Amino acid sequence: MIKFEEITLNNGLKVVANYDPFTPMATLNILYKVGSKHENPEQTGMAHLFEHLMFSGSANVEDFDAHVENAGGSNNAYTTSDYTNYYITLPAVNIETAFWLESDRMAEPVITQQKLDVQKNVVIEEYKQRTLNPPYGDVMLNFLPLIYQQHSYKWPVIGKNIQQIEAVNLDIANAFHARFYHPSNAVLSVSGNVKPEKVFELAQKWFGDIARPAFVSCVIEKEPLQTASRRSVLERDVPLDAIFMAWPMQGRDSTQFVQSDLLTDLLSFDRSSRFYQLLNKEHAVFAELDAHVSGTIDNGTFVVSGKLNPEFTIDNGISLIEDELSKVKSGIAENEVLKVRNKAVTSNRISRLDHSNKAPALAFAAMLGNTNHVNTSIDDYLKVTADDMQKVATEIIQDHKANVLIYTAKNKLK
Amino acid sequence: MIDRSIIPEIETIHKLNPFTPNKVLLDNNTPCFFIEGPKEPVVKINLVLNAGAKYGSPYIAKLVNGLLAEGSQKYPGNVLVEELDKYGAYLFSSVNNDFATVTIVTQTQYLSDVLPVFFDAAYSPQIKEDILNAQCKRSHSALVEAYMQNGALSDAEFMPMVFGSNHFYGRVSHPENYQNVKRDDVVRFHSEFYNSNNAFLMVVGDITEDVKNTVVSIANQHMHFGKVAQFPKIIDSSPSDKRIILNNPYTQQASVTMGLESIGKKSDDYISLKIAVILLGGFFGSRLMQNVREKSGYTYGIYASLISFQQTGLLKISSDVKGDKAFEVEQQILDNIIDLQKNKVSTMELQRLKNYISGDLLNSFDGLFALDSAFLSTYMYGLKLDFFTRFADIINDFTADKLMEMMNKYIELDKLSTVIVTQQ
Repeated sequence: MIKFEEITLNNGLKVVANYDPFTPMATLNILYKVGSKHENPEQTGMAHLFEHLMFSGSANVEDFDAHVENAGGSNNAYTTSDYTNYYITLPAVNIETAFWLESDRMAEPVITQQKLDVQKNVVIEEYKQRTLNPPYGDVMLNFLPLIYQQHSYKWPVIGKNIQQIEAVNLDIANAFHARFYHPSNAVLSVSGNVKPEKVFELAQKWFGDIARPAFVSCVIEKEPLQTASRRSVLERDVPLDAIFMAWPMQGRDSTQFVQSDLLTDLLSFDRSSRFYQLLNKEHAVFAELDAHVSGTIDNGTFVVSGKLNPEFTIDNGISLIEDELSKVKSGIAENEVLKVRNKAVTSNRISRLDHSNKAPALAFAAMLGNTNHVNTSIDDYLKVTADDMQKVATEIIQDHKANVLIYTAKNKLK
Repeated sequence: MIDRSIIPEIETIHKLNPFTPNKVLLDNNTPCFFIEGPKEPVVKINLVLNAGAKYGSPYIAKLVNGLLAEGSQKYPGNVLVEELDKYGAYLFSSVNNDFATVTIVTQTQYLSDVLPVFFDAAYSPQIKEDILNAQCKRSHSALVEAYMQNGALSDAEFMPMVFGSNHFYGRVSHPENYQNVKRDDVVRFHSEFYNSNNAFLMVVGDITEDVKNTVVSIANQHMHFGKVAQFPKIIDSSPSDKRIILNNPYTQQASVTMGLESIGKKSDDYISLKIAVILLGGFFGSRLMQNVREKSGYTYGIYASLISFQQTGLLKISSDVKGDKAFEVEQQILDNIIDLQKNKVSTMELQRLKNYISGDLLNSFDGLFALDSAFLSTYMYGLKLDFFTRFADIINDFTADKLMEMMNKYIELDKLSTVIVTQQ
């Protein structure tokens, strides 16, 4: 059980505190409800670029990282399609430094032309390192626009292309901050050796005077119901042919998410899973085979992906995947359900051990409107039955809703 | 309105309270360490063996380690993982140059159910021919994919350059290694190195008397006797090339990897050199990150680290960089080293470094996985846990002069090996 207390400041900032007296450390986490889905389609990659720019300094902080390190801490951030998350982990005695730093850059980041130019270059190198360099690195660039025709999940967090990142100027950057980086669009959580009353006192002290601007709605296009399957075939510099299949499903806050999350564990999480057993044969069709759910807040995806051993064709691969998914719809044994439930319990217990896991988990649950979900979500998983998983497989995995991306290898491994 | 120009006061961390493991000897004198962790009913158990890549070839050591979960004498084929999964247990294994580790994470209520399976997996794997062939095939294609990227390409040249291609730390795996593997070699390696005399156990988590008794009792019942591994002989074969430029047709970036053989953890100067290397490239405020990334924008990340092996150490600096900036970054790395060798760091920069490291040390004992790493990072190298208090003491007293001394004593520029990978 993660014990917590929460308040909301007058300016709309939600603050959650979890006290852990057994650690000398604390993590302050601040989540902004802005992700790539909120971007202008002509300025994609902006949420992630802005995450970098938040480290450029603010009105009273020339060097953000220097202050964190001086306080004995470390920090980082990440951007998703739904939100952007920042965290500082440091000795609990210095927690006020974290409040000062985060409040200053929420209130008034200072982005100069020179810093913008540098961070654009850094992000472009990141783009190359993560997306353009690795074999299969550009899959999401090609897969997402196949799956999503209208919804702004159709471009990846890193951005559609380098040119859009290059085109960002100071006006665009400052306007992005003004629109999305304010207290009523954020959740702050602290986990560690800081008492809740202290957390709330510091939150009020450092964030209380940051004004809540007039609300500007963000219109995100709804994804229409998919009525026909889609397929794309691309030739790439990769060693093995690969298949990526996705079916639309409900969002993170749905029962369907929980049921299909457990279903993908049954299919491919760990060595006794169905997919792993297929890999472990001398004449296996696949070298890698995986199933997972995207877990996005708005409508998500159920994904199966695999890399084919060279002697097998794409059709062999798709046929095998379809076969396996069909088997799941027809029957799931009780021992399989027991396994994935028990694994979920172990994972859940491990996730409660560390303030650096608890802080973002609390912020995420608070963002979705039910902070106590950090404690109750495991119960949702334990309620899932074999029947539930079979039904959800039947609901989601339908031929006319399939999105299939194929990568054919230019110089296939022999 | 709050005045944000007033900076909150900070406390610098001077004292550490490292944990004290409780050591028990099993019937054959194999040590078993218990470390109290967070109070969730979960434990993590590591069986650590002297079975790293240096005792054979890297790909054989890796294959043996990877096959442990694929069935054992008492729990053949799938039965083994089914037995663990039904209790929600996670089985991992890993291997590096010196050690192999087999790990289980389990809820404490199922400890007596999963431990027998765990030991049977570690000591009596089936190693079936068809499963071995399937693993070799997967490893081969994974390595082909890895070799399309700068990191693996660089390391394949860098490690033999630093240590010599016949040195056990200089050997690397190549995809073709996985195409001619003989089952006998795999079985022989396991048989020689995976035994209770060649290992120690470590348990971290919710340690109750019941947990301790269960672990000791089941470990004693599952002894597998054998010999303690002897360190392999070092074959000295320093290569002639100290600088190589490679082309990678698949990359959109260049990369720079530089380094040299260095001191191990047992050296008196290890901690001091480690501190110096952190300033060079071991955290965000380091010289390399600040200059190459934050000022120049040439990279997403650049790192310098002092890597420890059981018998030596390695200083390694590496980065993926903008395609046309490889040689400029190479020069920037050299310039940053020279600057630290010739010019004392400022009081402010030194204090920032000391504060960061002190906080990081405090964080080293925080949580299940941190305690685990902290213990292994000392015991595996023949160190005692006072290593961390010594570290804290050295950091408190560390001076700019000491930093310069370390940079000059242990980073001789003409001994650096360099691999640059360029775009075609």
